[in-house]
Amino acid sequence: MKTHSATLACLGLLLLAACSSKPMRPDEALEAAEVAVGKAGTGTAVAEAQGPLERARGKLDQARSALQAPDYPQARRLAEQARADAELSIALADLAKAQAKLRELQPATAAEKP
Amino acid sequence: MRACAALLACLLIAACASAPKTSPELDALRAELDQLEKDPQLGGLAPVAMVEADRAIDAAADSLSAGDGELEQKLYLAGNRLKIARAQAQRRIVENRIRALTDVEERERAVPVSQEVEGVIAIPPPEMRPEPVPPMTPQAPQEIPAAPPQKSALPPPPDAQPVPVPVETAP
Repeated sequence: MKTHSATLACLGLLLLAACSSKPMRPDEALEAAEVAVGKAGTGTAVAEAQGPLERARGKLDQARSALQAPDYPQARRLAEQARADAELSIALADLAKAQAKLRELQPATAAEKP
Repeated sequence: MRACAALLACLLIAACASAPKTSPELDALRAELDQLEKDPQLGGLAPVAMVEADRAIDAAADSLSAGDGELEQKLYLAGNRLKIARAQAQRRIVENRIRALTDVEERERAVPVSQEVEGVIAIPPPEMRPEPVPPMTPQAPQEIPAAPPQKSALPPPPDAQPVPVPVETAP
């Protein structure tokens, strides 16, 4: 009876260890990346922001493929990179828009002054 | 003699083991963040983004120390955070210039009777002040003529005596 209990306990521990080492599905990382890429894509197209945005879209597609594979660690890495690229695209687009507005204002103020 | 050599070897091993690990990419990122923070124009303009970049660099350093195989990923994310911080700081500079230009335009367009600058009302020069208005002399209150009674447009009340209407008779 004692041997039987010990075997069961060992099996339970092995099962727990197997479950804990299994990588989790990176659903949150993918959702965050999708939100960031969507936000970056809705703004006005700015040349400076297109490179990071294209990279973000490509990596998001690759992350989805890795999720289907399933290669969860790779999907998480790609989703995190896609989000970072999309956020960089947003920052660069905001900068470019502000610079364009400044260019619009500067000739106007220069012309008004004699 | 042998004991001394063994002790020295142990100390050397311990020193090597405790030495912080580093990588050229990590050092470059750290140096770039330091430069950005100390930049006289950009430093302090995007504090939140700079803190995030600092944390991302720390995470990369942790990965390097732990040897968890995530160093390349963490370096990529930290590099992007740094670029975002720089872009945000540059945008703040541009926005400050825009604000200064629009303020000048508005000041030039505004009628300079009174200007409110940062909560303080500036007193205009004497030639710009409006003509003083003479004080009103006290006058006797005018009598308002009583309005003549007006005929009501409403029909008379039902208990009132009907007015006899003359009936035209044929000649």
